[in-house]
Amino acid sequence: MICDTPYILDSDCRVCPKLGELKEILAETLADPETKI
Amino acid sequence: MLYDEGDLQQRLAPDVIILDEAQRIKNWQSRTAHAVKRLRSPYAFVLTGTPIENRIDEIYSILQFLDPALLGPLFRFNRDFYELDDRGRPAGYKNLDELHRRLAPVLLRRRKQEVEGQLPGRTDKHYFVGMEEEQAIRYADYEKRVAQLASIARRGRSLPTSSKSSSSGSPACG
Repeated sequence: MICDTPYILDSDCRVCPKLGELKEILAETLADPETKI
Repeated sequence: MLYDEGDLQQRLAPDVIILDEAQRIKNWQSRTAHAVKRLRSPYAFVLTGTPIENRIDEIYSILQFLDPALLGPLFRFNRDFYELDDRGRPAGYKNLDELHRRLAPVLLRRRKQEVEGQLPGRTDKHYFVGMEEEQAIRYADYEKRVAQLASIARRGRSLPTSSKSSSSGSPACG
């Protein structure tokens, strides 16, 4: 849970590195018209 | 997009509409359903894996987009296919063979076992994302506490039977 974000335990902490990574992955994947999401 | 663009029909004047994930319009009062049903085209296809999720009138809403005349007015659909209890509330369904017959001309059903051989294989990709310092500090804190609890639990298990019973029956809560 903490590895996703500590937000659920502490709403003052919005750190979430996976979200940034997901954004990159989606942008990369969507650039390939052959890939279905 | 649909309800933000009032003149979508005018701008697109579509020859064919293909509505994917058509269960989005199953609730015929929703804004999306209203907006979709305002669109007109000579040909239309709706695609869905779940034409009926909870109630049979969901398929009524989807069919209304394809051909409003096919199932007639909603009150008649309800009267024909809903079984009502003494208080007039839906208690079950009836005449489902007739519903099936009415849907047959417009419905093409593909079961999973018929098509799964034609589908591309599933691809799983694993990405590892490191924690930021803020997370790592908190993680270490919890890890320490869990390690303490685990160590206490282990000690409790290895105590001899006599001393276990003398510690008021809860050796792991020390």
